[in-house]
Amino acid sequence: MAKFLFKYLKSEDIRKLSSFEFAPKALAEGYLSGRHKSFSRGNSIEFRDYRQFVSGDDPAHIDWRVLARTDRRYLRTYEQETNLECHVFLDSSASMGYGKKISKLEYASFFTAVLCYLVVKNTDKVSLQIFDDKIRNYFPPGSTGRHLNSLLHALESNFAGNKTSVSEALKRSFPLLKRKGTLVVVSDFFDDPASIFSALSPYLHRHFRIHLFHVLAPEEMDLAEIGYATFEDMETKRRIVANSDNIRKQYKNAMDDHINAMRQLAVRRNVDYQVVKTDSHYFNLLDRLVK
Amino acid sequence: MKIIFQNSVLIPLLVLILVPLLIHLFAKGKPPVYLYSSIEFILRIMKNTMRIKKPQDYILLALRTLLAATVVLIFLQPLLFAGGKTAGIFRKNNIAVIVDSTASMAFIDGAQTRFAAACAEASEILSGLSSKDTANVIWLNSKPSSVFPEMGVNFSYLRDELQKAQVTSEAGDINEAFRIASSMLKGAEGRKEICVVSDFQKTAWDKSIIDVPEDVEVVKIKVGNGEAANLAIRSFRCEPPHPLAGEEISFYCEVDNFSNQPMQTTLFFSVLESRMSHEIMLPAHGRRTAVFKHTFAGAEIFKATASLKEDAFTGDDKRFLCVNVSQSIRIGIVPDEKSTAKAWKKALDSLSWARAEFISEKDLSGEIPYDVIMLSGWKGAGVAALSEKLKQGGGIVCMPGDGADIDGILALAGRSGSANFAKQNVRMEKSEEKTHRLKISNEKDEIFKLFTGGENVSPTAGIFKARIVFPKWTPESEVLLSYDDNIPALVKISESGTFFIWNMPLGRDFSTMQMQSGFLPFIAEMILSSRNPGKAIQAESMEYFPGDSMALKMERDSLGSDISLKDEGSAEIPVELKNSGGKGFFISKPIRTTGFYTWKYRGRDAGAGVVNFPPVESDLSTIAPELAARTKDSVIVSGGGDVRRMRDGFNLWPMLLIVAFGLALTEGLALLWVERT
Repeated sequence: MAKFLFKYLKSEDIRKLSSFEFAPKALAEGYLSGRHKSFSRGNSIEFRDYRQFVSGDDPAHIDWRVLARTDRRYLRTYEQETNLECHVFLDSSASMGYGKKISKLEYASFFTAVLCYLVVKNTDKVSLQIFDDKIRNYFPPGSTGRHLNSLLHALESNFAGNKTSVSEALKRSFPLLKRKGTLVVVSDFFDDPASIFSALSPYLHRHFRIHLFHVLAPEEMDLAEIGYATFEDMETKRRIVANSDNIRKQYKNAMDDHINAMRQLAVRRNVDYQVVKTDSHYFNLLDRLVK
Repeated sequence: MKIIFQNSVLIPLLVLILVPLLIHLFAKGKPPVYLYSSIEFILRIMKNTMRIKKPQDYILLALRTLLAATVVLIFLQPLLFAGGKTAGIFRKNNIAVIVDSTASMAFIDGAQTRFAAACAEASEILSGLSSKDTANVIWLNSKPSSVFPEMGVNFSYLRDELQKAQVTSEAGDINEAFRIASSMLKGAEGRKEICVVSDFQKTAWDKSIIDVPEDVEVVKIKVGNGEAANLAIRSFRCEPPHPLAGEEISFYCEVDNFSNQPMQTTLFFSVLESRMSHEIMLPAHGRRTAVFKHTFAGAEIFKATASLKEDAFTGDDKRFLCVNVSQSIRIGIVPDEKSTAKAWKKALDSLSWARAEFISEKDLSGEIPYDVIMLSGWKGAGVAALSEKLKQGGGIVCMPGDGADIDGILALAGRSGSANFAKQNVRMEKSEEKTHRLKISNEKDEIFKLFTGGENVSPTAGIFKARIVFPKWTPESEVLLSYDDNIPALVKISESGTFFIWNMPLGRDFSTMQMQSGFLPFIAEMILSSRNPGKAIQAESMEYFPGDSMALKMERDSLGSDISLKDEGSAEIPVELKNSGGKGFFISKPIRTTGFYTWKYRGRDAGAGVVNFPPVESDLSTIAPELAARTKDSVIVSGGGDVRRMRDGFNLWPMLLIVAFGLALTEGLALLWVERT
């Protein structure tokens, strides 16, 4: 176990996490029979459902009692318990460096550290991908203390980098993930919502459980009272002169439109999506991932 | 338009206008850099709102610049001059105000007469003059006159005069008024201006061209507003103009309708105790003539009046006429050719209304006291006096003498320079064997009217052994009688007077005409015709117009105290004695009001005259000032206040102050709007 000297994993957080158990509601695809429910049917005592026999099914699974009563061949299916793989995607683009009291990247790093600790604590596997417009750092799934240490060190040495391209990062990561599991993306999602969900489509096809955490600074939700200023983009370095007082309303509308677009697409694809402001505690994000 | 700044030393302050512009440019030039996560949304918003935001900024900038400019201009105290005239505050002003006081100005336009409005405008013009300026008021009437003999500085007196002034019934002499104004301004230093305040009545002002000196500005101010319906008696005359007692007289009365609508009115005629009336219907802008008949029993001067029902403009609703009825016609015969003269005299003596007497050639000078002159064997004596007689409407019967110069005859007839005749002397032709008869060449002439009634008398009866040889006469319509070989026997030329050329030698040796029964009525008709020149004369100087002086010439020497002139109310009009050819010639002061006037000699009537409304003033329609009395260039203004402002300049700072407040308020509202959007 770690010595709890990490920037993003505080001892009080660990104490709080003692009562948490990582338990995403969807079934996971694991290599061990464990405590997590899986849609992979197999040997288990947990009855799931009947289904009609089709050619190629193992005749051993035919429920003979039903056959005797109805003269029809039905198979009994069972739910299989397995271990969990959690894949964490951390956006480390330049825009994540924004934030007054705490930057979005720091906030996301705190959450990532806690999440990784929680997963490893439950002997599940966790992988971490740090990306901006490309994958900057990839840690394959692991469940050991050493693996956790590596992740926490990586978070500490992380910095806000280049342009954001969530969709590009997701596309590039897909071949790296061998097994389905829980996909947690922590980003400010300054990207086209359609292309993000387009990149998520392969994951959804493989029945990944996907959680999108949209991290925003309060000043981004409601444009800060800056007055006339030259706004410089942290990613592209482009500049524009504007009066924040004049455009605040339109900005708020545009931001709401963006969030709504993300939310609608998430609902449509059965993806968990949550907007989070950096002035709220990152433990709130765990509500959707623990029981 | 021209603007002058009273505080021009502050003109450098105009650079303050640049302040808001500079603030606008620099305040936005370098705003602080603010690092932001992503400006994608801001870019999108700016792209959408750029078109709305920029005009707002520019509106604010424009408002602020205008505000700064207005504040600076307030301190500069600008003066606005119309028409580029800037002389007002720096030069001496010399203003001659011509105030129209003619009869048309008496029309009540709205609440006051045009004249009262004109006086008020003139007073307004004078009110703003400073002590270094000069002014004068010139009354425009038949004899324009000024209040001061030259340009003066007592403006309060001029304004008092304007307040006390009365409108006249006179026509106006526009050229004379401008001449007086120009002469007064001549030699004056500084700015020279003639202000005309008038209704610019169409009949008086249209097409008139006034010449004013180059350095004099002309400003026109119109009072009254155009159309004004009016009925007027245009003329009132009688025929014959010199009637005889017992003779029926026709009184012709012309009535004009100066309106766009047909009008019906009643025309009244009164003379002595007799009173008649006619209902007349007048078309729009039309004229009708009514005729009244009357016969006077006695011989004296009678006063006839024609009047209309009163309308809005009363001055021209009444017209007066003096009718000088004579007991007989005085005929003077110059007997150079005695047999013809005797025949004339013998015939005329048998007429009760004719009083013929022989006179000599010496009497053909000065004013000939006869109604008709008959010249027998005339060879050119007294041409000047005879021509004057004709001009006055008298009648002349002239039988040229043998060898008389035809040019003299033609000159007397008013045909000098005519190409009707070859230059020659007239020649008497006499033959015992070859006689001639007469024929009527123009039977439509009024002389022959009597002979067309069926009576068995002929004016052409008789045989002529002698005659004067005339070439063919043109126009042929003037030949009343001619011989059988078309030689003219009697020619009638009716112009101002009536001139007969008589080519019918009378007497036993020459013809038998004087023995015919038709001779006497023919002579009588010719004499009556000779004193009836139609419309050409009108009661020979018995009619005057307001502003005229009445004149009386006495046959005998008289003292000034013997003669007086009285109006209908027996009020005495001052008269002045002037010697003329050793005889008394009296002239009155200008008469202002219409009506009958009677000359008195030691208490008895010695003559009469009428003063009638000038017909030119009856049409009350007006024209635009720019069409009236065209000068080189003139300025048209709506009132005296404008003239003052044009002279002194219009002080703009109070208006600019209001504008500045308005701009400040607008800028505030615009700012609120910009912030809200």
